[in-house]
Amino acid sequence: MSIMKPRSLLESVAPAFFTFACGCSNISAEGTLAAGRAAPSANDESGPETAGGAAPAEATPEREVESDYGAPVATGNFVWITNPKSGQVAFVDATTLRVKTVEAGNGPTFLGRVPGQGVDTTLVLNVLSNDATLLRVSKAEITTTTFKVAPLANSLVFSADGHFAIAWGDSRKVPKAPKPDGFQDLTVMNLVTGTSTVLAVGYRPVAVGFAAGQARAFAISQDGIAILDLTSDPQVIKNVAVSDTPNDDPGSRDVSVTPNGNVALIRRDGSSTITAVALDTGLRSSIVLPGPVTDLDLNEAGDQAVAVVRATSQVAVLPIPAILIAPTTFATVTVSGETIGSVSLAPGGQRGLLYTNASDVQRVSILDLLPAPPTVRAVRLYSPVLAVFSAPDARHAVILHEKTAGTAGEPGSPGAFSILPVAKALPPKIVATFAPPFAVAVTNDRAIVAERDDKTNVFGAYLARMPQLMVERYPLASPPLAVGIVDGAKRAFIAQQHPEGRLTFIDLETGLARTLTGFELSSRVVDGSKP
Amino acid sequence: MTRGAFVAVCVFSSLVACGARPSIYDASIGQVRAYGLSESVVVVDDNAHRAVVLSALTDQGLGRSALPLGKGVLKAEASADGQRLFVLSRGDTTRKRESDEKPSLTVIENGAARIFPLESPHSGLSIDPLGRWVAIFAAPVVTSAPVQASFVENPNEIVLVDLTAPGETAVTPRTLRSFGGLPQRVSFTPQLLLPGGPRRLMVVETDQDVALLDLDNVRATPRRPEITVRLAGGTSAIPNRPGGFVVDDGDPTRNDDARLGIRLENSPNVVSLTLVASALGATTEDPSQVPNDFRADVNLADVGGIPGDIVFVRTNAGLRLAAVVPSMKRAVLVDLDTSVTTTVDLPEAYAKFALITNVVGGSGGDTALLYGSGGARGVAFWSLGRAAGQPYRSVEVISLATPVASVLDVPPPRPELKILQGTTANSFYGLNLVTRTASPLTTLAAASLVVSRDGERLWAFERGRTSLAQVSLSDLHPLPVPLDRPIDAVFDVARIGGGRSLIALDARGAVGATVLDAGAPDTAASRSYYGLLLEDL
Repeated sequence: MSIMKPRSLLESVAPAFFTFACGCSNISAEGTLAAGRAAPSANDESGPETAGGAAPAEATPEREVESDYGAPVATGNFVWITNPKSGQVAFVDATTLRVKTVEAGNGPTFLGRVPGQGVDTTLVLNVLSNDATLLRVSKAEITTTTFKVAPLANSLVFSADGHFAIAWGDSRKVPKAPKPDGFQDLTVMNLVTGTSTVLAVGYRPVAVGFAAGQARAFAISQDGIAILDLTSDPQVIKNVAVSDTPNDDPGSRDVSVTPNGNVALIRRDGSSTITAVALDTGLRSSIVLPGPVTDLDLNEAGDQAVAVVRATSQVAVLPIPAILIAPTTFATVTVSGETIGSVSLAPGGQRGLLYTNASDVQRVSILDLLPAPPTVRAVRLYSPVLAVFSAPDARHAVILHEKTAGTAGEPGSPGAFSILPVAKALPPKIVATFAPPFAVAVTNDRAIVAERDDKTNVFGAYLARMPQLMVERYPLASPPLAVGIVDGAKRAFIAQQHPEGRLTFIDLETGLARTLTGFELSSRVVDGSKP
Repeated sequence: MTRGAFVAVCVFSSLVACGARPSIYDASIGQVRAYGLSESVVVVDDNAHRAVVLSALTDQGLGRSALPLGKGVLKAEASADGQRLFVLSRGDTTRKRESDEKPSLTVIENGAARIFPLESPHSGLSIDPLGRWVAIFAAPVVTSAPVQASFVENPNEIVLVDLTAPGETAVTPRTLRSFGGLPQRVSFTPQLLLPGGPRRLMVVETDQDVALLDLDNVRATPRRPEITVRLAGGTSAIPNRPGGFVVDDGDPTRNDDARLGIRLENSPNVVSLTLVASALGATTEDPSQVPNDFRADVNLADVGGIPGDIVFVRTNAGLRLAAVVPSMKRAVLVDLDTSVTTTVDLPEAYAKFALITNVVGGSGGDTALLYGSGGARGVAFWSLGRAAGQPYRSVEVISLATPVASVLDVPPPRPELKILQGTTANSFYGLNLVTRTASPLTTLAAASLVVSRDGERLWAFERGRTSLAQVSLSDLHPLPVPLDRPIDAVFDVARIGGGRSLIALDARGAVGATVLDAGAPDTAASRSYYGLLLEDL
């Protein structure tokens, strides 16, 4: 499966940046904080017609902040940015900082990085011409291929080998979409043959993904999980219900699908039952936990899922796919004395971070899944937790903190973040920010955190070096939009809000910052050289 | 009376004996234009196709000689160092014989003329301040003085003349690629350390873009194309018009940090170009050309309003592009690496900068003089050394009664002095940059000011009248030296044999001159000369 963090992607509160997350570097964790952090459910948005089986929600649900973060579109050497107004896509060589542009279709808006390619390749959705342009850049030239795409598409996913792409419409990016807009058309693009096929799935899909190593894809919608066969002419071969009463239950609160596409896990707010579904046979099992499950995360390999029960401070480690046939056989860890409601598994899947952002808890617990039974180590922090981002090697994590209100004896803080050594029992380093943290990108030895406060016009970025935990601040001239890492150039970038387009690059080794403003102007320098 | 008629009366019989007289004798004396060089004054006598060179001699003597000029003078301009006069001529409009004149550039230097024939006439001229290059082009047409040198002109054709090259290789025409722009200004940069080595660039500002041409490879084969920086995005039909540029070579040990800053006349953005190495293995679209070994990285920064002036400054935090924004009463420092701007509120709407660090020094940063006619009274000293909590140290105001329209530099040995000319009032000021004092000098009428090249004195005169005064720049003592004839221009020139003389020209009639000892002007010891354009015919 091509999705690295299934919970983030399939979570019904996934943000409007889902598409970009698919284009992110595969060695860094990146995210952008969307405006509303509170978590409307897919049920809320789809307008449930019945009460379904959902239990009453808890007073303070966990907020899925990580899934509100998306990554800018970077390929191995370039940062790609669309200009819907001019119809151009600018691509910036992150090594030389040279800017070039290429014409896409009408209204190029949504970009995605095509994985598994020998050259930097992106696919852009042109929302006004209802097509997509595949852009491949090499030293010699840039080539384009155009695919017809169904209307309303605003998201892209790719198979791991870059053979297929699916463009689909995420209704959550269109807040005022009328109810009859089902967003049910998916466009399957064969990037090798240059063909595209439009398929219809269930009402308002919330996630689309590929089964790893197979010509198969799935789409999770309010009507269940649609299975797509891509072997020859793409087609929908079945729709798997995720509950016993599919007509009454319009959708899932939180659906995770294993990378091989065989098993789906469904969590519902306020419910202590997790449903496991075998997507090939339709077999369903109910896994009952000691209390309402507040979070569920699947590891990268797809052979383990971790569920959190905040009411009892317990963590359940579910073996996959064994849990389908033995739903009562799983390990449970009680984290005594700690309040935990969310889990964030590191990419390797051997460590996880347990925390809560539903209340002002200034602690995080490190869950080590390697020993049996799993062990937990609590770490004291110095500000309430907002979100957690693990480094790809799980040796460090970046923890974003909430803004704190001032008291009589202590001034408040607009925000902060901590760098937490996970692999070693060392204390975290907290850094007070001048504005609320806004976006994060993490590699094994570097992290970039952007801050943004539009009211005070305070904008900045922090470069953290690990394991030294050295942090340096860079003021920014304009509001940051997203951050990312360009692996090939060893540079971080911060995309900013500017009418002419603005990117600040920070060299991850030297720390030198360079800002480019005016992509259109840069691309209009004519020096007689070949494009 | 024509000069021919005048002379003919005196030499009638000899002229008859010589047969048909030259047409010059029938030519009237047209508008006289005079140009001051360091050691002479050159009067362009267009109708006689000659330049009359006036030199100061001892005892207020005046040497006169004539040099040939091409027919139909279109433009004449002296170099800033006073060593050369450049004259563009149209030549014979219709050439009927091989001997008829082509368009030409005449360079007058050390009392001699060097003529460069041109293919076509041009009306615009730009002189390299370092003395090597001259760029000839079609002067931009302005409402007040429409000038087009020929029936059809290509404004983007620039003719470069290398004054150090032998005649056959001195003239290089280049036609710049154009996106519809018309060149407005042509300038030359100092030597910059670029990735390919030390280079000088020609910078052409059109009304919508900027072109850079590598002067050190202008005759290279294969040819290297110019770099055109278009100043508007592809979605706007309104061009951004460049309003001037500044240049900085950056760190002298680095070859990838030379920068140009460009002010836009109709936008709050300032544009910076960083000249960095071109891509390895780059090729050109035109196979007959090779790429430059540098390219321009473009950056923008919004300074909040249309800047009146920009300048590169050095602060404790590094190089910054400073912009003064009169509409906002502020100056803005732009960090070119990050585009982060720092705003400095100013007490007046200053519109211009002049860096004065070389005179007054700077504590960890440059010092700039702020002035301007946009309603700003007086001047201000802006110290850019860092103080706690702000990237500049201080802004110190010297309030004057009037806005400052222009600032005249005083050459060494008194570079600490600036002469400030007001916009309306009959006064000017001697500003001492070191003591930060401004001494007013009042005049009975609007005065024209001339600072001597030796930095010792200032001349003030009323154009078309007889009023003249010398002001010693050592103590700002004015010495009235009224003449007995109207003054159109004064020139403080080096005298042959030592010392300096003042040559005051009266352009009426056949042009006259009064010569005074510039160091000790005394009308009783002065000598006057009449009918200078009648001589040597």
